[in-house]
Amino acid sequence: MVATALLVDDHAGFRAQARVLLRSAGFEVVAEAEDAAGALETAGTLRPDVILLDVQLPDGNGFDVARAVLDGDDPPIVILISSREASDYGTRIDRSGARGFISKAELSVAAITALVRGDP
Amino acid sequence: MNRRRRVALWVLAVVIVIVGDAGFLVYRVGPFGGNLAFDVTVDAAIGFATMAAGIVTWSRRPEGTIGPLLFAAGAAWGLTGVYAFGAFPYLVAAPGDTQVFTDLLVVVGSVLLPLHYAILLHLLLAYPEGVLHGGLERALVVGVYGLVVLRTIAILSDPVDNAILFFAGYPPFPFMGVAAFLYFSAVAVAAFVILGRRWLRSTRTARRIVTPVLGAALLLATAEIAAALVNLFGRWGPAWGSLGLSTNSRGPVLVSAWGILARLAVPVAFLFGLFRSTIERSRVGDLVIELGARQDTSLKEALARTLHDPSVELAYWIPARSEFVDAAGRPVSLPTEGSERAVTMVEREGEPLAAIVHDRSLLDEPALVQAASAAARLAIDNERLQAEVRAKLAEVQASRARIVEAGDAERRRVERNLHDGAQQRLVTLSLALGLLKEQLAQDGDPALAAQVDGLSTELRQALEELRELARGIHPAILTEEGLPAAVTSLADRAPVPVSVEEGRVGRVPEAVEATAYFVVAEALTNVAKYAHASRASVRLLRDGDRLQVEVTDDGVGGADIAAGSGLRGLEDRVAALGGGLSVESSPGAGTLVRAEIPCDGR
Repeated sequence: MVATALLVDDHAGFRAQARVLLRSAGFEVVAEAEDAAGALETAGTLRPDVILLDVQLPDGNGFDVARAVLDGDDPPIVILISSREASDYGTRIDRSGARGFISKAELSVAAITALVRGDP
Repeated sequence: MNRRRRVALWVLAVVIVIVGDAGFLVYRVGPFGGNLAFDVTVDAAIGFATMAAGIVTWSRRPEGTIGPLLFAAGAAWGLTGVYAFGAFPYLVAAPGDTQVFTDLLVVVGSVLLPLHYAILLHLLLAYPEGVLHGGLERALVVGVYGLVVLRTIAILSDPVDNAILFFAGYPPFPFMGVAAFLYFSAVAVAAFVILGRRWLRSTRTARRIVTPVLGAALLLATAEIAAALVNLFGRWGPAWGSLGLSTNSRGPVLVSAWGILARLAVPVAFLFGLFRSTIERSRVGDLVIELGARQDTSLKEALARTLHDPSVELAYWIPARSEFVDAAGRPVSLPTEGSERAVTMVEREGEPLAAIVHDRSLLDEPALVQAASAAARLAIDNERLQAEVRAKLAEVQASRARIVEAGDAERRRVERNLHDGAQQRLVTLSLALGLLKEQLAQDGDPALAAQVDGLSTELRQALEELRELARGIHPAILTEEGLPAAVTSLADRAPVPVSVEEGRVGRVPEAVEATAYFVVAEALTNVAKYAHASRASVRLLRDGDRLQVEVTDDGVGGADIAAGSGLRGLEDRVAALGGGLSVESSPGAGTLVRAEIPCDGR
């Protein structure tokens, strides 16, 4: 079965590129959301395997969304992304419970695949 | 009052006493008898003492009415004896043998005593300023004088019979029938109710001046009422006897002694009050001396002592702002009409200088407050100028802090714009190039793929530089995570090991956070550039409403705040928020940068 992915980012241009990237990495992008509310709703109904989640959303932040979707049975793998660097967020990334963080500039098939597999 | 008039008054007083007592002498030699020497001496002493107190008060306070009134009261008492000159012929001669001249003396003599009491009442109510307060007091005084006039008219209609009736029963108190007794008592009670209420409302200073006079008046009023009671009960033998006393008992004598004492106490009390108020006013002189020598006592304290009002506050008028401020330059509002506090304005050439806010009761002593404020005017003006400078300083300090805050807000805005705009687009572009490169590699065009890879690397570098620029403008982590996390991230990026120690910092105002962050950033930059240190440490400590920041290293030292423009700018920034920055950096002993910034808890 092909793994399903949810893409959350408020920037349409970025979503277009990221969609291609996720497909290249072998995911079926079942939905896209542009804000925290949309992300929580789609994650609840479609139950994707992976969520590529932007930290900065117009109506909230990715850390809170991650905590919410991870708080349940059979939680998805959450990968946080941002145009900022991990060091700009201190310990918040670790505290959110997400699988990992990729700076948008470093986003690649290899980086996503490595995190999903759980490679060190 | 000039010397000639004073001498004239003393002479007049002596003449009045001699004439009055000559009258009594005649009277006493006649049918009434009594202890002649004692009566005449006491009578003369009372009249003369009262007039003497009047003359002294008059010359000390020529502007007031107390002196003339006292003299008049004494003169009225002293001249009462002229009645005897008029009455004597009737007492020794056959009825009907009348003369106009002696009739007039009878009339005058018999109204002088009630007049004496009317003047005493007037004195008591007008004391110490010499003016009556309000309609009730004026009505009472006018009423009592009016009744003296009515009495005069009544006696004029049949001088001798009325006068003899009037004087019947002397001693101890001649003119009281039951109606007169009730009238006297009612007036006395009304006067003491008025005075008692005023006494309760007045300040310690006012009480000191008024209390002796009030006491003497109370003594006199009770003596007269007691004497009248003895007189009445003495006449109504059975009633008096039922109280266990007889008309032959020592009661009347004791009452008479009490009355004599009270009459002598009245002038003494007025003189005592006069000297008291002289002492109170001389305190204003002490104030002047104290203000002149003043080193550490505040103007407010000195005024509070002079006015006997520890609650005294001073408000200074700042013309440029059209408002009152306190000594520290903070705006204050004055109490409104009808509140517990009253305001006395200090003015110069019609312009307000300051306001003395004091207890309402001090309104009873406007002269004291005015004198004190006049004496302190120079010091007040001085203090006002200082308050004005402080107010301006506070304004400048506030606007300086606002400028720093506005600058920070602007930096945050620029950083966010960079992040949301250029950075976001470049990141997308970088991602697209990455995808294009993979596509090209799959399609078997390695040359083009390598070229795209080169572009991608170039773009990534541009992004990195942009991120550094944005961080320099305003670090995102500071907004996101607060000061400790931002400082930890600074420490992580430093080229030498940096330990971070943090104590209860929490979130502080943005301007404080940013300033502390830039202090640490600048200090760590200097460590990396100049210190040749092997390690450094950062301490952040929140001590109540102050944030302390310390950055130390074990490098070569010798840093100078005046030389380094970076630290200089930060020193200004810290000072703008009301804090201080210091650098300890002896050569070879490392460097310690310490900043202390006030912050409100949040």
